Amino acid sequence: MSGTEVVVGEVVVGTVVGGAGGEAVQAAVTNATTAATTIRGWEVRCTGWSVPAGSVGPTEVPIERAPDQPRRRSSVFDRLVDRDDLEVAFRRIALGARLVGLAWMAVLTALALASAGLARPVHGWALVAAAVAWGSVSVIGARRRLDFVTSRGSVAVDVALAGYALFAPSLAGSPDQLFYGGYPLIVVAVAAVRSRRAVMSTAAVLSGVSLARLGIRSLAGTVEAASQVITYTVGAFIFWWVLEVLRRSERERQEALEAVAEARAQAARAEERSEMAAHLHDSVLQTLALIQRSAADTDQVASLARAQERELRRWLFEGDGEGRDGLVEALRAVADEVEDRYRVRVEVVTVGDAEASPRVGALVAAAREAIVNAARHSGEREVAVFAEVADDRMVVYVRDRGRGFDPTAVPADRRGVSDSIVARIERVGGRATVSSSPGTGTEVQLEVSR
Amino acid sequence: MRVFVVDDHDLFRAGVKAELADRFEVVGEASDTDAAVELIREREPDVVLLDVHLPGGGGRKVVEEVKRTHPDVVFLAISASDAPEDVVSVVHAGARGYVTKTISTSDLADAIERVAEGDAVFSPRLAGFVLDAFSSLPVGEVDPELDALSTREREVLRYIARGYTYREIAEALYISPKTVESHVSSVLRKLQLSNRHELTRWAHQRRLVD
Repeated sequence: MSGTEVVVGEVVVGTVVGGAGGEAVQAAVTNATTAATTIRGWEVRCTGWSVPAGSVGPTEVPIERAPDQPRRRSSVFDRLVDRDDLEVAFRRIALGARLVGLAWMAVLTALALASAGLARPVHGWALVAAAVAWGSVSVIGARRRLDFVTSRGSVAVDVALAGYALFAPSLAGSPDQLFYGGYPLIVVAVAAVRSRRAVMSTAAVLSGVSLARLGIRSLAGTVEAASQVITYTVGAFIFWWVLEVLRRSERERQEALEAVAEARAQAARAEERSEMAAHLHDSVLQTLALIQRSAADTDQVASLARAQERELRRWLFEGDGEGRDGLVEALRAVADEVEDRYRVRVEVVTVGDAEASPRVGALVAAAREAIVNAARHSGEREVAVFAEVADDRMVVYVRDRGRGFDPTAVPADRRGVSDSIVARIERVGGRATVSSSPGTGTEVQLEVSR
Repeated sequence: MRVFVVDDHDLFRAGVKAELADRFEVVGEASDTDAAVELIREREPDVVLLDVHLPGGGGRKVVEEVKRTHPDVVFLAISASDAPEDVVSVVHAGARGYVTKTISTSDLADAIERVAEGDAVFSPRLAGFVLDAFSSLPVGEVDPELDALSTREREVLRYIARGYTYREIAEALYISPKTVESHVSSVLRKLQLSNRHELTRWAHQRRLVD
């Protein structure tokens, strides 16, 4: 595809097809820059750029990526504020806040119990016990599943306990002492993590409880109740507001990350295409040129085509061939070598594979002798190689449909090669069998244990 | 016999048509999936020579679509790539055999006649794939009827992989060529009926190494 390729930094962000002018390029760059700047660590700046309308050809956009900030060593604090997942962080914070609120309330109640001014201390003890119990249950529940912290049940327990804490001074016979501290407000905050509905109903219930307890007693009580209602309601709104802003910015950050990942994937695809074009140019096109020049020599043409086929097949299906030096790879290499040298076709079929070892080495060397024999003496142009690796043994068959020979009347020179095959295999404790008869071809069977 | 050729390479189609013209009536050709399905339904050939790789869904889709309306049309898959997942998927869809594009003209003509007669045609490479696929399936939880090969079937496949013709296999095993054919047909049936995901997964794993 011809057109203007837009590159931001190292990332290709799009290709504007020829004809489209500078405006389209400008738009693509603006999008990519916005996406990149939204992301932490991807602070970029554009250092001056313009595209003349109607331009065609690669457009380099000089945007520099700011260097990464040096990372601080991670402390406990860092781990607490790590925001891999915003919702996980929120729930951890909610759990911490709840524990602080419960402790706060327990200490205040304990102080009231210690001053011994309570007519009915049982309510004080009950509140301390409930605070300790609920704190422990919260920690255990959160360890199992973090969602427990802001589950519907947990929020309900919080509201019930806060309501009881608001009433406890009156029940204990000392209405002027306050036991609850910051706990009710913290309960509102925890509910805000759960949902908007949860935070609104929590604020409403706690406001109602405050009014019921204080509102009707006196003017001072009414003022105090009103101030509590305002605290809970406004608190609910602010908590929800802050969380919502954080959540939205996290969503946008994720979207920007995805956009950049997509841009990178596009760049990778483009690179793959150009790599493929380069490879085809260096290999297939060159071979085709050679074939045109030597069209009269059919052997040469067949051999060129075969070598090219092999090369292309390997490139397509095996990558760069790294880390594959087992039996299959070695047999293929031998087959390629013989094909090139003797202008025959060697078809290799394999089942299973075995890693390189002295036995595999001996097997391959013997197979090579057999393939060379078939290529040189059979008079046929095709050699079939089949290798099978089972749990306990490896077998290689080398077969041709050539003229064959009588194994009992082998001329001396052929005997030598046969011996070298047999000797190699027997040295590693294996077995080599040559079966052949005039007119039906030859098959060499090589077998070694693994 | 009426033969239809599906391949997206014009040169290859033209070459095959010229080579087969002596022995068969080539009743049509197509270069992509949709055209192939439509024309095969219209011309109703005996055998379709089908390239595994085609624009618009591949050889597999052609087999599946045509088989729904014309179950009697016989497919012989042919390909240059040998990627096991492609070969196995076309055979799994219902092709009666698989040969490589480097096959000689007379061998190709023989293969076409054999699939038309109801035999299965396995190239050495396909035999290797099948042995590999069935031997790497986990041993437990197999249905012996469909998911495992008999000793004799394995033996026959090994001979095919070694480059033996059916006749040569028959001589080596002291059985009739018809029996060899019935073993290969039985392997083909297992390959087509086995719905095991392992087969596809195996082919997929092999894709990058062969």
